Amino acid sequence: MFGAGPLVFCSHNGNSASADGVAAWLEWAGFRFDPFAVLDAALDPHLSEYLVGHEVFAQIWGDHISWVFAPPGGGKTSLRISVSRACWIGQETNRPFPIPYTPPFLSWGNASPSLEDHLGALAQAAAITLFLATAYRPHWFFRLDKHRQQEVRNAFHQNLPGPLPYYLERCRQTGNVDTLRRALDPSFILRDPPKSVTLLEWCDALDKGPNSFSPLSPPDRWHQMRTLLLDVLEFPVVYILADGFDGAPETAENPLSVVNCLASLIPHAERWADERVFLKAFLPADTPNLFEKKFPQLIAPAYVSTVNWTPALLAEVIRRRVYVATEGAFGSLDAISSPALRDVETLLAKVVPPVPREMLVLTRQVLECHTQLHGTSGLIDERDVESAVEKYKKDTHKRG
Amino acid sequence: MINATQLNYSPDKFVDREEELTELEQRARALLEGRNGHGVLIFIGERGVGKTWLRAHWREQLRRQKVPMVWIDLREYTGKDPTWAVADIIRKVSTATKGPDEGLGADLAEMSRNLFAHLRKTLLQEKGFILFIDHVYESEWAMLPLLEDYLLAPLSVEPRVLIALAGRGRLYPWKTPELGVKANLIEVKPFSDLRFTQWQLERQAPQAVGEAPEIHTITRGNPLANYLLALRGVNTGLDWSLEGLLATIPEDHRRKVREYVEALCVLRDFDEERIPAMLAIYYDDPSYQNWMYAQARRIREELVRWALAHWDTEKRSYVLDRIIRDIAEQFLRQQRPDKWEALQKAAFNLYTRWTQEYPRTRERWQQEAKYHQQQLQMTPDQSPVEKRD
Repeated sequence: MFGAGPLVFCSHNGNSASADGVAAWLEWAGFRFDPFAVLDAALDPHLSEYLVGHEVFAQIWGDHISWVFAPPGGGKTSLRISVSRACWIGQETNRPFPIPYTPPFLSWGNASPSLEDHLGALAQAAAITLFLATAYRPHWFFRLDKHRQQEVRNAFHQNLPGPLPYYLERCRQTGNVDTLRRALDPSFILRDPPKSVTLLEWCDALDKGPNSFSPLSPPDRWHQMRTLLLDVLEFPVVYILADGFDGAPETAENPLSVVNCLASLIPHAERWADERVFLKAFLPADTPNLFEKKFPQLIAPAYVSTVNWTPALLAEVIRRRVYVATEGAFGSLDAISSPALRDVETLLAKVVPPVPREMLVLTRQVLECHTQLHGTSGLIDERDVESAVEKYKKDTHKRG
Repeated sequence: MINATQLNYSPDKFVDREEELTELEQRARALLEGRNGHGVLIFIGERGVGKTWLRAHWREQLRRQKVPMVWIDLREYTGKDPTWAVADIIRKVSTATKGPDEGLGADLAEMSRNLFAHLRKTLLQEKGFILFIDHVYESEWAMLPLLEDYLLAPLSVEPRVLIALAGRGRLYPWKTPELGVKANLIEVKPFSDLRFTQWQLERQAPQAVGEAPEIHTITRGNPLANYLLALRGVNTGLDWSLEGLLATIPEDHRRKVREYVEALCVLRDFDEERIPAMLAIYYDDPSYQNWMYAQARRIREELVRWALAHWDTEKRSYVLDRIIRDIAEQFLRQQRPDKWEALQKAAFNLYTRWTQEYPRTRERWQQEAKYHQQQLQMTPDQSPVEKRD
């Protein structure tokens, strides 16, 4: 597909010398950071800044039920994390409270959970998120009166996966929120963790009061969490962000099993919406017809978003990252390519399967080839792209 | 060197903008009446299009309506430490809303919390306010995430606060939906109709009303350029107008920047690969052809820094601001026709060479070569502004 000329193969990518070379070239080219290095959306601190397909995000964001359909690797988790991060900006409780909800099939032991199963899991997911959030923002807890502080304590006792004193003790030992984050949800990152002394005060304050409780039923636990979030802590709304169906063996291969998994939960979504709790589900691309058939009233077209990765949109993934990483200096690899190349991103997008991750892998490959062929300066040229494409195809073939 | 001038805002010299003002007035009234008037407005538009005047006019209206407002100009924080700058802005918002000046907190997070505690107790219970932040997109990106996290994002969802942002240059990728995908863009456009240019000149430069059609053709309705051109007249005012359009650039940079603009103004878009060829002709100095990429990049960075050029997402290349390019090229064509012709020829030759050297992108460079050929074939009375795009 590319012009004639001697083909030069790049050596194996991913080693540290290669990474150093790319980093040095990016710096030469005017990048402030490497926007192609992190392939796991959850670990990318800039994810929300270089979101593409803004219309999909705009459709999801808001106080309504949302259904997002996309293929595996098609950006569902990126969108879910972006929604979550948009909820956590700032120091106040005046933004939505997000509950990341990945159905815990292992603990249920089946793939068709009852409503009780869901409610118990939701209460636990909400408690984990709130526990971590108040560890980062202890002032939310401190400013409550004693009675309300006790309600928070009760909810943690009832709903955290392990005993509250155990988590508090671990936190005391390190004086660092990271201990809790790693134990409960490594993807949970908020700006401005508290100083150790404040964190220890929070641990001590939470450790007061009785430690034994009669266990509540899952519906009561969910009701308790909901009341806590909306009435006690005064979050305006709660978003339940259901995701992870592509990655779970129980649902990855069979679209009907995704519908079966959510079948007991979805009928309650409308009533919950009236109570300011909004379900936002990030679902596999092969399930919309099944959901529409089973829940024709609920899957309203206005709240359905489908992510279709066209070459144009994939090209935008790279352009947006370039724009953010160069602080708006330029928005395409064209700016740092020889005149022999134009619309580099679309060239690359036509080579890869239609998922953003592959686009990032190939782009990174272009940069590695460039640094191997030309060193850590100079414009990207045809040879870099040709070599990268050949290498990418060989690697893809090996991966099967 | 000519001393450029700009007309200061005055209500009796204000023209048009009915549509924008109606929306702004409705929003302000909603705030005052306790209805849902919150949200984020973002003013955008090219240099000289009237953003400053629209803002000044709106501010005047708000003052008359007694709408509480806080006005921040981010130019005051150029070169300052970002954390200090945002702390100072939080303090200003606090004092402007009758909150504490000192003791807000030891870090931005604490200051933000205390500001909101104050706002919730007082202002947001009774009435709302408008926060206007100017020159947002000209600011360093190091400051904007702090401003977003500690002030704008939490304020953007408060039901009794209207945030208005204005600026020109690189749009910042806000991560807060209310500032990004959910914000309302107010694009201030040049006067589309000759009548508005006539009304403007009647109020601001009545001696030039007779020249309004010619002025409007050259400026395509840009109010600042209308005014500047009207002051000296079409025949002699282009030099003065270009200087006026560049007046925001500090004097020690302005002369060089103007030369770069003149060297590049015949191009529809540019990048570091094209800059040396054009400078070599502009300065009659072939040594520019040997420039390294990094040297050309400094020129591009300078033009972007002063918001005279920006990355164009459709062309995937840099473009000079439309009004800057229009006036600079008209000036060259009228006052320095030999230079204009030499630059057009240089561009034509460059693109013709690229057409031969780069087969994959031949079509793209052919289009540009053809464009410059057409420009060279135009008679002097044909305006490049009318014909080129």
